Amino acid sequence: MKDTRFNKAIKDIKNISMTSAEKRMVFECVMKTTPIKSTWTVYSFGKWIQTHRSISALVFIVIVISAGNSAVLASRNTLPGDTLYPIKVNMVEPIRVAFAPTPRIKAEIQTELVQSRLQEAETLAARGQLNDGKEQSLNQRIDQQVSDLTANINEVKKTSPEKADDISTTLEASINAHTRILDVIAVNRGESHSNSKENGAINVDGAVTSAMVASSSMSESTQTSRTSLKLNKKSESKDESKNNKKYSKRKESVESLIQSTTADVAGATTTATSSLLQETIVNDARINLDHAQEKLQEAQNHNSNGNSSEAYSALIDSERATKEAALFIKATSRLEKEVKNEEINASSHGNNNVQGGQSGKVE
Amino acid sequence: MNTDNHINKLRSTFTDIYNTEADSLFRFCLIRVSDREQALDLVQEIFTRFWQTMNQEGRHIDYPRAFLFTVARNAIIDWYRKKKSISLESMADPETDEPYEAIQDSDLMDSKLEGEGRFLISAISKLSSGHRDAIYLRFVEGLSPPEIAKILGISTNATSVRITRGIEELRKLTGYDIEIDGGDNFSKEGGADTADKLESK
Repeated sequence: MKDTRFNKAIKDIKNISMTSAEKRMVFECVMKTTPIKSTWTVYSFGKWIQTHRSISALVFIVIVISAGNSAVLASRNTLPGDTLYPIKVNMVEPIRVAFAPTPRIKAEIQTELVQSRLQEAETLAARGQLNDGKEQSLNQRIDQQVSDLTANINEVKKTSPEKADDISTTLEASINAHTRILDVIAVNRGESHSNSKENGAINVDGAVTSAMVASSSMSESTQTSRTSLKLNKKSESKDESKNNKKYSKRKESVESLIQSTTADVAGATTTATSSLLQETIVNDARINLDHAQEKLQEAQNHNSNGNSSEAYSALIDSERATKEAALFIKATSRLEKEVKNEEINASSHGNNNVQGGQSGKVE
Repeated sequence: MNTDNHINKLRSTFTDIYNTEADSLFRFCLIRVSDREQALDLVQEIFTRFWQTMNQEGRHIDYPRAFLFTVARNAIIDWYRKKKSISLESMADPETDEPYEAIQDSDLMDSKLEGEGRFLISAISKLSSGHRDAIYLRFVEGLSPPEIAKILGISTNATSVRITRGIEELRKLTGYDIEIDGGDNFSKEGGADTADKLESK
């Protein structure tokens, strides 16, 4: 128990208080002051982040995702040798393939990837930047992707043989078309190099060879797929009505494809300039289109003769030739730009050299 | 509408706290500055700062009492710094950084302070600076050791030690037979939870 005097002393001290008038006055003075609003500063933002941990974590995640997304978008049109190219080939594309829901979609994506590699080779060749290192890395990637695709096409065949045919023809057409384009570029660049007598000419032939190697391996795979397709067709030939239905459906799609590609070729022909590269490629497209129409006619003849499996095979050939022609037309505008850009760069480089030489003389 | 409701809620909370704590803070300031008008100014300053902090977005004051006494202590120190010119002696001695004005009877007479109370205040003012506030806040204002620890900016254990030693010192000065409250040895009592909560803040 505490001392009573101590308790009394405490009680006395507690009696010290403000009068009610003083209390009211102080209260009113305090309430009259308007709260100071903090100005927005880096410090206050830092404080806000400290107090709203969960929101700031969310903001951080959003920043990371958007930064990653920007890198992914930026890497879309990169070429071998670019800083962001490894992001495209080592991250974005494998993720796309891995997240494909069905083998069919996976095969379609893989076909796109092989086409991308071949287009990259073309662009580099057109720019004259295809050196040994880039060529080798593209070769390896094409080989890898073609082998992955071959394995996957066998999976697709089990579920949807028609779609497997479609993918096979697209791939075969793209490999043929891109190989031919690379060949044309090689010839074109060879001439320009001999004309300009430039040193350090890029080994475009090497790229063609590498693409050819890839295409030959792919052709083998597509050939085997076509052989098995024929075998399948033989077994299926018992069901004639089903075969006819399949044929007529495919014929319709091939006809519409030929029609649209013919229009594209006509458009490219009318806008064609005097560029040798463009002329050669458009000419190739025209030849392919003629071949496609011949094959279509052949297919119709076979079909009218009741030879449905041969008709289907000719139809597939026609489809492949049309797709090749379409790819040629697509490539013309893209490559023309590249060649023009290279010419502009070369001329500006030449001018600089001339100016440099003149200034040297003055000095 | 939400903003109005929020302001009304804040105002009501502030009014409640003001009515409960205004006298305690006034006492705390008055016995330190020995000037009624000055003490009223300090109380106004303390509550203004409290009101403004309450209105800051994202700010929530968990322990208003501890907050108010911390502000009061700082305001009194500021007031002393402004009032007294800094001497080389005071700069050399960190103890003088905790000011305590000698209680003047003339100022406290207005506050109806009886003989025993005046005697105790006078004794508290003579305590060593480390024990003075701990003893005052513990016995006059009835604050718990964790709350005092928060105000003084030290650990609850250190506060308990200061209170115990302060009591010893006060016994010698006054001759009062003051018993050590169980709550002061908080580490054995329930005060430990509050201490943890306050220290984590």
